Amino acid sequence: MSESAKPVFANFMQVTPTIPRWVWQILRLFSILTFAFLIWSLFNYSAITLTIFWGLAVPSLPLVFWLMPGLWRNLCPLAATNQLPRLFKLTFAKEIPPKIKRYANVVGLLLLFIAVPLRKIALNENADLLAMALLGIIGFALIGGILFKGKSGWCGSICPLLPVQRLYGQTPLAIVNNSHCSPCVGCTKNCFDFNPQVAYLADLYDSDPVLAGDRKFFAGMMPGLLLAYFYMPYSSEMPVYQLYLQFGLYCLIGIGTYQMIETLLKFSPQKNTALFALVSINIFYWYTAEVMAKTIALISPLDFAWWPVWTLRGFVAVMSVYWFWKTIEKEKLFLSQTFASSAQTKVASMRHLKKHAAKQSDNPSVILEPNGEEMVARPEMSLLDLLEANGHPINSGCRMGACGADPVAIIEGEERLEEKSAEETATLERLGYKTGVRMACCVKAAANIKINLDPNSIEQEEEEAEFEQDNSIHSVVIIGNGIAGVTAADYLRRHHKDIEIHLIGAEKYPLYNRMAISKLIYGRTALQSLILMPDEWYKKRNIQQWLNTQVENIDAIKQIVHLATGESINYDRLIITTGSNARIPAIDNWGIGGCYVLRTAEDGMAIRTYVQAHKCKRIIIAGGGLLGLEAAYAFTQVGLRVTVLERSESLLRRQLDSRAGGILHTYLAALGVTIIYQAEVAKVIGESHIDAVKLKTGETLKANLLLVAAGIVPNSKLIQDKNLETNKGILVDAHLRTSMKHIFAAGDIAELRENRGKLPGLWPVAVDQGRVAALNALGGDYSYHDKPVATGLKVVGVELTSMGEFSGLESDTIIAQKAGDKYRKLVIRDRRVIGCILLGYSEYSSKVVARINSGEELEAEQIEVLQNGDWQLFE
Amino acid sequence: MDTSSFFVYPSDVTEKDARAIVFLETATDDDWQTLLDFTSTIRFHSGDIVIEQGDDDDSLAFIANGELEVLIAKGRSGKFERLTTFSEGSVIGEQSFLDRQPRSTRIRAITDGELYRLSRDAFTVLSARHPNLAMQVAMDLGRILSIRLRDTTKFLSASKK
Repeated sequence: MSESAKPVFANFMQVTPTIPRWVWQILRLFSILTFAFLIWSLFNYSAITLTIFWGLAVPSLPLVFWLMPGLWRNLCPLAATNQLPRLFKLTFAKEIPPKIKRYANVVGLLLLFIAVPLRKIALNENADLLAMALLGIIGFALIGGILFKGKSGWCGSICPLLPVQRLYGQTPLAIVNNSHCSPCVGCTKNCFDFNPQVAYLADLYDSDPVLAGDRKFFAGMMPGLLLAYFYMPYSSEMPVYQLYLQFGLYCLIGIGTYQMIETLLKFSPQKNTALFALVSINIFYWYTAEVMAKTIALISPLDFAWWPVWTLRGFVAVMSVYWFWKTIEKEKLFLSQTFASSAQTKVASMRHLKKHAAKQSDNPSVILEPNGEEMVARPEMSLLDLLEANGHPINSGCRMGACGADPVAIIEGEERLEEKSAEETATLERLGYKTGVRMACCVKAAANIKINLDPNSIEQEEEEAEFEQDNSIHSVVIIGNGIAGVTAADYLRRHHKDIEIHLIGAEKYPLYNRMAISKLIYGRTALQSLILMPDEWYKKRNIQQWLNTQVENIDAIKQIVHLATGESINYDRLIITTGSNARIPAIDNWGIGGCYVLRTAEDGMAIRTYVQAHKCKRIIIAGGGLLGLEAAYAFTQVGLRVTVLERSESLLRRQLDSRAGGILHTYLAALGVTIIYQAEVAKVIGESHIDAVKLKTGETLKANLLLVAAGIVPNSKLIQDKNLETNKGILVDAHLRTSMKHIFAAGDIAELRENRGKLPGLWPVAVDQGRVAALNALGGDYSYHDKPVATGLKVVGVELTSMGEFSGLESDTIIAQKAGDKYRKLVIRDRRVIGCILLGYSEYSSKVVARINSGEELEAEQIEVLQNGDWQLFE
Repeated sequence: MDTSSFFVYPSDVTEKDARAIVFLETATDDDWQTLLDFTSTIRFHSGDIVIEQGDDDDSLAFIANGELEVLIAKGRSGKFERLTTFSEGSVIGEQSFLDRQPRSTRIRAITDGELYRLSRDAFTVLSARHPNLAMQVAMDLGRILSIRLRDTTKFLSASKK
């Protein structure tokens, strides 16, 4: 167990005492003996004893109260006597009656008020009387100790010096631990001995205003009491009542001044009482410094001099300012603690928490280095789910191991994890990780492991190239720095150490996680968290990045790329990966302020800016596809009213059948998203900024922002090149070669001749094609064929995997099972799974996807078992 | 104002709990199970900093067992000292959960233990799946904040006197 921090205001039980208790007991014995000696010498050597007592002993006490109050609290002979019965277990230890408790401070205060003028009348000169008074007081202290528990019979209640000690001692310079109370019996509220640093503040802020009243009253009267004693003229002829009246008047002036300051200057009680303490202690030593110096001159061979007097006065003045500042300063901390501690929130019973704890006591745990946070996983959770659930910053994209957004280092326990799928292996390879790194989305956290979010924390062996490189190729230009382009660049470098690689991007930023751009709308980290590779990645691979650079045209004959900047680059091979743009259907008045698409990071950030600048409330999204719904969720996260317009009759028509669409609809509606079907925007209404949209049905909907998410069209700019054969995109063969021998295309822009008209526009496809195009550009012989790709919806709370032919034909075996808000569906043709919808069944996702990819046949019994609702096969 | 946190005498052990505000007092066992299923579990170890001042983290946490301390940087040295402690059954972090502002204090584990985090994302899902329960949670957090606000108001008006 590590040591916990020292409490801000430690009480005496939380501090290890430096001086053991037995030492104090011996010292206290001496203290009582000194007291006895004092009484004895008062009777026998009255003159000198009086001189020393009043001239030195009493004047030094406030200094102790002020700087080291604990010392006196431990050594005071009255306290020692008061505690004797407790020490010898001869006390009744009664609780003080509440009435007396309430007036204890008044009693102490009155005793002091009686005692001070009495000094003038008699005590200063009459040793016998002083001795009797002291004996009387010590007697009371003893009786208090016999009757009442703890220190409540004297020290903590009616001791006349207690108010002085509390006023001066509220911010001790040095804390001397209470050595009396063992054990503490909790006899006194806001006990000064228990927690000397805050006892005074606690009184001032106590919910019982009586306590604060006591403190304020006494602080107010203190300067008056001192001035009355030291400054007021007195002669022995003055009648006693008059003396007391005059003392009273002085005190009242002090109290009045206190009130005045509080009312006129609005000082807080804390500041005001501290101010009065400061004034009091200075008044006291202004006068007693001289008294003390004179006493010393009287009883020693030293002569009276002024310099010690001024030294003491100066010391007190300086110290008191420091003390005042310390006192004021701690109020803030005091309040912090008070608010932090008062009324904590608790659960009513531990039962539920304990039950929950028992349920997962055997669950695997994942330790996140470097800080060692231990997260408890559920076995069906992926590492990515776990990290996200615990709020860790991790990129995510396809969530199937294809995009490469979420590599994590597995520091310990890699061998306990499931084997990598082919897809994950390929992705890791592309990223340059061989051992110790996994894609978080692919790993089920089913064993105890230790991980680090920085995949580079595991050292990788340098890859040794073992291939023949074609030295006739010197320069490869890639147009487009999306995932297809960057993947291509990566593979080019891996297979050719010497070529120049130019990566030309129209966007201002290096490759980022385009699948997560809707986060830019609600996330606070802007683009930062979406950047996939650091600058070093490009540097290390010697890839020339051209950001914010437009390509003007391509001279396919001379093999030159002309940039809009006027520069041009020669190439031996060209790979076009310019991707696609958002498709904008014909909408009247489109383009005024508040009309957006969401395709680039720039779009996402512009939307966030617009929403803030125009205080948008209503958002309309045209399109109920993946992007539209992800954006809808993003807008709800910043508290906006979102309406999704879907052209068809159900959501995500490319991913879901109508049953699954219905489940998703219910969930999104519960999140606050309004969805209108068979709705299309005809017109944007507004002058410079959008006010509403008009639907084709004629209906008008208010809107501050319209986001069109109606799919993509290939980036048309280079398609118009006369040398390139095109259809919707640039036509390529299975080698991803265009109609020009040295030009390849990959990603959204590439349209396979064998699959004319189809443009999947998916990240994993772009990755695959980038690789194939790069390898073929260097003279390889790889081919790419379309295959089903799994997709999901990145909305919190939706676990969706949709892949392949999820509708199926009549001749197919279709297993579709709905349970509450979960839905699972397999389409089986010739015993092979060719498509699926898994909504709320993430635990099957990786195996089902693998099965579709592998094309492995199912046994007849297996199909039957699945039909009967037992899906263990895919767990 | 309640200043008893400075004077926790060994003789009155029960006092601390008596002052607590109870969260979700009327929730059923099923409610609790549902709610806790939306949380994620962290096992902390003595000395771990469970919440760091200034962090963006909008989750709420239930302490299932263990003890934690709230730390505050004191004086110019910035040395951390303890303001108060939390023990099992405590609900912490509700302010950042509600207002999404950075954490206001550092919380460090004194002993080993376990806590359940309810993130805002998880709460969003909860509110879509179990709107009634989510509303209970939200209302109750609102009630707790309201009690705090009342205390503060009372304190402020009292200190003006």
